Order: sequence, then C-alpha cells, then structure tokens
Amino acid sequence: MNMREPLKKLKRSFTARILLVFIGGMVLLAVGLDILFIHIQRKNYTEHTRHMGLSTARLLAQSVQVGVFAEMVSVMSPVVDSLLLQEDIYRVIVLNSQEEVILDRRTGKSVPEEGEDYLQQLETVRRDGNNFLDMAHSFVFWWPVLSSVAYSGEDELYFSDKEQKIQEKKHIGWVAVSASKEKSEVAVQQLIVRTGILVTAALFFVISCTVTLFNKMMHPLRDLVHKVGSGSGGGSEDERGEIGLLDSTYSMLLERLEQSFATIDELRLNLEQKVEERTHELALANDDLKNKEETLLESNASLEKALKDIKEAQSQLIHSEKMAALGQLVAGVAHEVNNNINFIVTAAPALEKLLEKIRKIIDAYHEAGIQETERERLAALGRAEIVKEGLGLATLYNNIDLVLSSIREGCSRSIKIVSELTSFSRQDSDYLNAFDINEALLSTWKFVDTRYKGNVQLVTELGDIPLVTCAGGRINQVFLNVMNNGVQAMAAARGTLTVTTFSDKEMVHIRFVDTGYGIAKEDLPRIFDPFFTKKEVGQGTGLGLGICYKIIAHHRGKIRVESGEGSGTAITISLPIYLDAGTRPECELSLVSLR
Amino acid sequence: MRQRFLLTFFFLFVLTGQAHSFEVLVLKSGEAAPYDLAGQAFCDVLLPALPRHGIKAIAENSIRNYTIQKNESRPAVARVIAGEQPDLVVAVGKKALQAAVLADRPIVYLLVPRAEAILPVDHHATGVSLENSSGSEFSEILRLLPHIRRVGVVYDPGRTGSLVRRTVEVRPDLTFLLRPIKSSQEVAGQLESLKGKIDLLWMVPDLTAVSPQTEQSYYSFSLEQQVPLFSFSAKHLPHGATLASTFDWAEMGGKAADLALQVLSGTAPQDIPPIQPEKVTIRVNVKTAQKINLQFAIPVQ
Repeated sequence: MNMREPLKKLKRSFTARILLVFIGGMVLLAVGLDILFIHIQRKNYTEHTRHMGLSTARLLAQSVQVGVFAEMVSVMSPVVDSLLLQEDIYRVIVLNSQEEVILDRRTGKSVPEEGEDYLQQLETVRRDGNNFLDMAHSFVFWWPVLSSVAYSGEDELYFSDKEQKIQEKKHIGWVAVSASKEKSEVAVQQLIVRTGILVTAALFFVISCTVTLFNKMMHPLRDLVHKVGSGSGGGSEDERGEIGLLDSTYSMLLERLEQSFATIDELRLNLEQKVEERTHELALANDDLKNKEETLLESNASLEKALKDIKEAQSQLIHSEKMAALGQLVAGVAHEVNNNINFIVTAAPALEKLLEKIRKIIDAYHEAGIQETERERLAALGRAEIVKEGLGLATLYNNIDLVLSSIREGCSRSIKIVSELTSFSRQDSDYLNAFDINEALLSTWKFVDTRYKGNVQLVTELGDIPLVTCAGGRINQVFLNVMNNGVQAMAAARGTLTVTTFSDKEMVHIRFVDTGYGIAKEDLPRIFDPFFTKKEVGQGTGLGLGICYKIIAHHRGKIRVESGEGSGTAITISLPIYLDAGTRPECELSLVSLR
Repeated sequence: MRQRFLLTFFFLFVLTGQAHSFEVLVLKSGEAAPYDLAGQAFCDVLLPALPRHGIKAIAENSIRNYTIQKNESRPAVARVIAGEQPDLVVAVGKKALQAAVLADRPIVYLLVPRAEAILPVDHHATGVSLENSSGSEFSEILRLLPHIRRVGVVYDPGRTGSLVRRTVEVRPDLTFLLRPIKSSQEVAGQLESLKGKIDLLWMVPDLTAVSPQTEQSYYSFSLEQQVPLFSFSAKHLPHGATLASTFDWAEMGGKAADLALQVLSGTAPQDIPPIQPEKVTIRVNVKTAQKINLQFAIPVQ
C-alpha cells in the first residue's frame, strides 16, 4: 500500500487537521505547565530546605552554647556527631567569638569542594543579612551562637526581680551547617519523571476522549455533507475530502439561492403591480363611499327635520289632549258651580222682596219716631203695628232664614267643589304621599265628563284598603281618564260603571267595569299606543291610555284589560302599597280578549 | 528569749531616758520578693519597739520605704538619703548598701552578699550577713543524704575563697574536691575533671563560677553524672539544681531590727559586729532528685 495516500487523505480531511492542531496545542500546553510545575516545586523544595536547614542551624547554635562558651570540643561533639548522621548534612563548623574554628566535622560523603573559605562565606552572610547560602552543589546555613550576659552583681546570684526582664544576649560564636544538594536533585529528578508520566497519561486520555468526542460531533455533519454531496453530484468524499465536498455543495447552494432571489424579485414586481391596481380600486370605492356618505348625511338631516316636525306635532297633540281634558274638566266644574250658584241666584230676588217688606215696617216705626206730638206718635205707632201685622214679621224672619240657608248651602257646595278641584289638581302631584284611593275615586267622579255622565249609573264597591304611597295627582289623572273612557263607551245607551276596590298583602286593586260597546280584539293590543283612538276626529287624541300606562309604570303597578266587542270593558289597576322599585317589574300589562 | 530580754532592757534603761521619735529609711535594692519579706519583718519588729512620743518632733516615729529604680545612680540615691536625714538607713541588698555608704548616716544592712567587701574602712554600718560559714547547711544535707562524702566545688578564690576555706575547716567529716578558676570559661573544664569523683556538687555564690553561661554546665553535669547539685539559692531549683539552702527572710528582718534598736539607742554601728542568720533550710527539687535516682534517708516534700 502506498504510504502517500493516507497522508494525502489526512491532509485533505478538515477533521484530521483540526484534531492535529488541537492535539499539538494540548501537548505544548502540557509541556509548558509541566515545566512551570517543576519550577514551582523546585522553588518550594528549596524554600523548605532553607527553612529546615536554618532551623537545624539555630537548634545547633543553642545546643553548643556551653561548648562554644567554654570552647570545649568534647561538650559539642555529641550534638554535632548526631547532626552529621542526617543523610544530606555532610559538614559542621563551629567558630568562637574571634571567628576561629573550634570544631570542623565532616562525613565521608564525596561532595565537590566549593566555598572552602568559611571566613568569606561569613562575610557574605554578614553583608547580605541572609544566613542561607545556595552554592552550586550544596546549601550552607549559618547561625550565630548567643549567650546570656553575666550577672551584673552578686544580688542577682541570689534574687530575681519580680518582673521577668528580657535576658540580654551576647554573641559568642557561629555555627555553619553544610547540606548536600544531592538529595534535593534526586527529589527534583523524581518529580520530573513522575509528573512526566502523569502528564503523558493525562494527555493520552484527553486526546483519546477528544478524538472520540470529535468523531461523534462530526458524525451528523458528515452525514449532512454526504447527503448534500449525493444531491449535488460530483465526486465522492474520498476523492475530494470534506472541504472539497462542502465547497461544491456551497457553490450549488449559492446558485440555487441566486435563482431563488431572481424568482422572488419577479414575484415582488408582480405583487407591486397588483398592489397598485388594488389601491386604484380602493380609491374609486372610497370616492363612492364618500358620495354615499354625503347622501346619507342629507337623508339624516331630512330625517332630523321630520323628527323635529313630528315632535312639534306631538307637542301640539299633547297640548290639544290637555286642552280637551281641561275642557271636560271645566265643563264638569262649570256644571257643578252653576248648580250651586243657582241657589244664590234663586234666593237673591226672594231675599230682596223680604227685605223690602221689612224696610216698610221699619219705615212705619221710623215715621212714628219723628212725630212731634205724643198723639201723632201713638197714631203712627198704631199704623206701624198694622203694617207689621199685615206683612207678618215673624214669617218674614223665617223666610229670610230659609233663603240664607239656601245661599249658605250653595256657597258651601261651591267651596267644596273648589276644594276638591284643588285637591284633584294639586301642584305637588309629582310628590309621593300617603293617598286614600277610595276618596280619590269619589272626588274624581265629580269631574267626569258631564256630557255622558247623565246616562251612567255609578256603582261603588269600595273595600277597606290601606293608604297607598303614590303621586296622588297623577293617580287622579289615571282614574279620570279611565272613568271618562268608560262613560264615553256608554254614551249610546244607559249603562253602569262599577268601581270596586280591594287589596292583598302587597297591592291595592281598583277595578272599573263598564257596560259599554267594548274593544275589538284586533284593537286591544294597540289601545296603549300613543295616538291610537277609534273616536271621531276632534273627539280625542289617543293619548289618554298611553299617559295612564306611563303613570302606572312609574308606580311599578299593573294594568289588566279584559274586553270584547259588545261585552263591555273591565280595567283593573293594581298599585303597590309601598313603592319599591327593586322587587317588581316596571309595569305588568295584561290584555284579555273576551271573545 | 534573748531577743525579748534585749528589747525589755532597751525599753527600761535606754530609750526611756532620752525618749524622742525616730525616722528610719528602708532602702531596697529592687523589687525582689525576699527584699519585701525582710523589709516588712524589720518594720513589724521595729515599729512597736520604738517610743511613741518624744522631744524631737510632734510627729510619731516613721519608717519610710524607698526602692531604687533600675537606672537610678548611687549618687542620686545618696542625695535622697541626705535630703531625708534619717536617723538610720536600713540597706536591703547590695545596691542599697553601695548607695547608702555614700551618705554619712548610720547603716544597718541585710541580704547583702559579702558586705565586708563593699564597706569602706571608716564605715558606720552593721548588719545581718547573707553567708553562713558555719557549715550547718551540710548537716541538714547529711541528714537527708547520709552517703555523701565527697563534695566538689568550683570557685574563684578571689571571691569565695574565704567562704570555701571556712566551710572546709568546719566540716572535716566531708572531703572537698576544690577546683579554683579565674574565668567563667574554665567552669566547664573543671566540671569535666570532677566527673566520677564526687557525691555532691556545691554551687557557691561566686560571680565567676556562676553565670548564665555556666549554670547550664552545672545542670548538665548533675544530670549526666547522677550527682545532686547543691545551690546557695532556691532560684536554681526549677532549672536543674537538686538542693538549695534558703534563709528565713523574716528572721533576718527581725535580727536587723534588733541591730537597728541598738544603733538608735546610741551604739555606734561599727561597734556592733555583724550577725549571721541562724535558720538555714534545705529545699529539695523532688523531680530532679527522681531523675538522678537520689534516695533520701527521710521522706521529703
């Protein structure tokens, strides 16, 4: 097999290139981190060694204090020898206060000699203030040997102050401990090897995972490329690689996209043309609509004018109805007043004659009073007595009382009429008050149209009903309308108008029954319509029952009409005893045709 | 008994004749506890013994304490004494005595090591010595440790030669291995030479032989050689000494008060010989004793 083919394939494969770059980056990163880690570890190890070495030197300086003070090697030897047993420590030097070597011990380890001149080392330590010397092959730790200052007096031999004073120290020598770097170098080398193995293992694991993950991630894309490639034709993936395949696919998609854009552009032009046409049509329709709107406005103005005319006509008709009702009322009132005035008119001449006779008697006595002589006076009195007897003074007085009684009766009746009229049409008719229905019915009858009243016999069956909370004036108007309609219905022949009142827990019921010609079945539903009337022109406006309906509705009452042609009419009006708007419908109307 | 007789005699025949009030200055070298104990004992004994009225002043007898500060010079202290003009200066400790001798006042000293080396020839002082050259402390040690025969001692002949010499004289029952030195550096070497040769190492109050640098050598020797270390001060017990002689500070204060009364009664101080403390107590560091396997003849606390 040719080795160049896999290399070429690898070069063409985009996935392989990405993976190679990624793995290379990972390796570089791992190596860099490993070097950094080793550097940090080496630094830490050196710092640890420095710390431990200085601690050792400090302890040694403390331990050999007596030996240095006395400059006795035998005192220091055990400590130094035990220290030299440590693996990495290979030399210990002890100097006295004159910086002369009083002890120099070393092990048999072969460490390259370096910095043998201890005085030079000590000079470096003093100059740098650093007791740690990092040599090429070893570390050297220096530490001063200090000792307490001798007692200042014999008192101090015996007694100590209560306050513990800080002991003053005196510099009496130096110690130097040399440690080989061999151990540290070995530790660092081991560290490098271990971290290298760990990093290699971790790198291998990460790369394996990455390759697997990348393959899984690229699988859908590869499938897609295959599908697109098979759709677009061209060579196989093996021949061209993913990038070549993607390139040809992209070109094909670009071509298709351009074609789509051309199609979209064409469609856009057609659409614009259609929009223009449609806009033109809409403009025409809009003009037409404007014309229609103007026409409609004109029609509306005409209708408003007609409505205004109708309202004016309605006002005139209502006015005519009022005037007709007023005429009826005035006729009734005039009739009654006329009857009462007749009492006075009839009594006045009679009273005048009686007064004339009394004046004659009085004149006769007056004549007697003015006579100068007694005789003449007596004679005149005699004549006066004769006149008095002849005219019958007692009878005159009785007749005057009768005449006055008649006048008083006429006046009393007139006052009563006027009072009832006032009560009938009182100004506060719209105000609610406790109203006596029975009394109102009797009063109203007096104002019923006198032209038809004569043929009608009123029969009342007034029950014991409670006072009703209502607008009395309005209710009187209803009663008058109903009674007038009843008597008018009985104008052709004598009849009877029976008025009955009764009550239940909630309502008072007033039933008017006439024996008139009744209402035809087809007219019954319309009797409460405004302007509906079967009367001759000029006899009625047709508003009476409509007004009654409104008044009863205002009182949340009920109206029930039972009638049939030739069977008379019964109208029952029910009024709530206490006006309560919330519990009953506005007006309950029942129309019952008897035939 | 003797003390009571002396005080009674003093009251009856000395002070009653010339009764007047006295001013005494107790001068302390520092803040050490023994100074306070001895000074307080001195005051407790002296004050009741002094007359309560007199012709010198309306004020009663007064005893004033003064403690020398660390950086205070001797002339400065001497000026304080001159300003006070006390009838008697009680110098407690060496520094106090060194300052007191500069002021020309009668002195009673106590707790002063080797006071005779400080006092000038024409001094006006007497006191209670801090050394005990009677060798009585060794009697106490032998009572505890009867096996001891050989005693090693490192000393500077110029400082403690007389003490060592007197002790050797009064204790013929013991063999002293003497190691004279001239500097502190020799201590360790001399101790080396005593290894395996002694039963007891005696640490004397010698500034040459005993210093912070050499004390460790004593302690190490004692531990390594399993030999008890006998010190002159109890302050070495916690550091490694096995035995230490201590004085009764209150007794020493009382003795100083006796001397003070004699001086105040008119006796010249220099005519009164210094006295030594009688009570010597041996204290034992039991832990150290156990470490060096020391067996006591009688139980010790």
